[in-house]
Amino acid sequence: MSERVAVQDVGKTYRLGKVTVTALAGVSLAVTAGEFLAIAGPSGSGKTTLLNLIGCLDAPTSGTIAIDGEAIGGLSAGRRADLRARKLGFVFQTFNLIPVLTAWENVEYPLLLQRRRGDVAAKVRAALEHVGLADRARHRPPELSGGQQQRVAIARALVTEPALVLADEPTANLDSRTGHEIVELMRRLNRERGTTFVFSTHDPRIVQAADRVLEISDGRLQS
Amino acid sequence: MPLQLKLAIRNVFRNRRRTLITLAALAFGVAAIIVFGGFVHSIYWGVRESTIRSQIGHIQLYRAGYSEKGTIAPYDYLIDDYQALRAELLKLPHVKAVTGRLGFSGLVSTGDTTTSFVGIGVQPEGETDLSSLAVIVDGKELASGDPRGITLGVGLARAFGVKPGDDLTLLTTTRHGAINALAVKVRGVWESGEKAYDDRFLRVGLSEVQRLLDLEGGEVQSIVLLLDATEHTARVRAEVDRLIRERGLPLEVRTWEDLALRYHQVRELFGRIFAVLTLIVSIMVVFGITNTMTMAIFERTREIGTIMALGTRGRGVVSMFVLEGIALGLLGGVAGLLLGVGLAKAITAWGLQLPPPPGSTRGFAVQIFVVPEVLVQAFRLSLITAALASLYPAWRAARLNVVEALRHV
Repeated sequence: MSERVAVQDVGKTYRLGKVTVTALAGVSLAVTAGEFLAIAGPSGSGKTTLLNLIGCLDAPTSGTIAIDGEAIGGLSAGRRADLRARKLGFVFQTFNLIPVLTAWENVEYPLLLQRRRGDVAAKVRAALEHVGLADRARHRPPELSGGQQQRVAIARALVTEPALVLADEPTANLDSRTGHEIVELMRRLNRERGTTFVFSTHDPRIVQAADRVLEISDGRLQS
Repeated sequence: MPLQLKLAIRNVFRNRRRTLITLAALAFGVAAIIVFGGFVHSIYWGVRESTIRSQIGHIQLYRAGYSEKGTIAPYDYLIDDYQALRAELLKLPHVKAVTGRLGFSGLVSTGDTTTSFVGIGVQPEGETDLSSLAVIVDGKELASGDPRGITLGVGLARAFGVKPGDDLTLLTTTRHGAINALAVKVRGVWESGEKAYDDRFLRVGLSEVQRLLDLEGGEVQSIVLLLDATEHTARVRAEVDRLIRERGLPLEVRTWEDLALRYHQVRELFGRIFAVLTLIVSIMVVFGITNTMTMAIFERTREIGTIMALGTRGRGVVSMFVLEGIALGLLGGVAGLLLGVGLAKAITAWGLQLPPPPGSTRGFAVQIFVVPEVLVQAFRLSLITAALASLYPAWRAARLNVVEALRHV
């Protein structure tokens, strides 16, 4: 199987006043296409930083990251934005839907960003059907439950058929039953559509669903 | 509708109260420009028309050289064939009245008191139209049938204590330098509203003045044309120029625009005041929009982070907020247009009286004209200023760090 993500000896430090904080140190990992990978660890362990780096939202202090063989170091902010639009899908802990747009429009947004020609409506409909929310298409986020909002967010992440979906603690703001449903949904989409998922969590029950689990603590992967 | 636009419009109405306050500020600014602009235009119009219709007419003709040297040697620059020319000029389209004039000055006496005057010899028929804003307040207008009857300004009449029916003597020098006198009778007293004019001027029938000045050939100093509307001035002037050229007449032409000095001064003054007001309103719009946008961006930081994470480029973020600024400017502009036009009509209908302006004796009712170009200017100001004012906050939003923005609560 081909390599979706290659992280090579990546480190990330922040300056907090006069103190330098090491968020990640010497992290290397590879994600293969179609994988359902969990990154587990307590809060503050560096999970979000790692996902942000893989997601081209942030640049590493050292090391290299490549997505589908394309090195992302040294790309301008604009090019990184294009790469995110083209290859990545995001699911956030706090859902992060645009509140003034309906579920349909939220899912439509990344397609319009790519200026995709062809049947945008069919893609949006299919994505909402996949997450079981076709009947909620005209609702705006405040009219949806947390679980429904997260499912819309998953539909939004998947609608562009990205190479990789990054989900940062996607269940942390949901009750355990809904959280479980969300993970099941992601797992099903991973199996049915072969979408690669990398998600972070500190919930041991959710970790069980993953193909592979990488433990992280104090900015280092545990072998 | 493109999603960006949909997003902008919905975001505008997200915080209704704040948007309404911003729109109210915009609308009041736009309305202020419309009302003040309309008032200024009514002043321009008032000064223009009162000058044209009480003194100078729309177009004046003189003997070539008169405007340069005529004040020193007025009788060297006279128009000879006045009657024939008048008949020709009356045939031109839009010309309502043509009248010859002779300016002279001298002393006027009641027998007991004497003062100086500025006299105008006018042709009674035609002059009534031309001086429609110098209203007879006592007695009657000049009439050809009463060649010795004169009319005078209300200030002059008051200073002298004369009323219609009283006798006066006019004393002046003829074209040849001899002293000549004319016994006249007050026929009417008029008021133009312009103090300098009302205090010094009197009007006498043209034929009597010609006799008084020893101009037996029927010469006049100037020929004044009154048109049906001021807007036709340029067109008629072209016709008059053509006539002069074709006939090879030794005449020069001046329009009210050349002669109405005060009109230009008023325009200059009010134009500047209006520019200052426009600037103040622009600053108000800039602050209002910048404040609204800055607050909106602060509140929506995480949302900005999200759309950037999804792959929106910086310029996409900028255009989203600038579109919001434009939407605010557009809505504020429309509200301002409605408010401004409504106020203009209401104030005009109300008929609020203002005291006499400097140099005038008559107060006047406030009129606010609804001027299309002022409406366009006010609306454009709202739109463009709002768009420009949103640029800086939008640019700052586009420079947000995605990771930090996503973490923002």
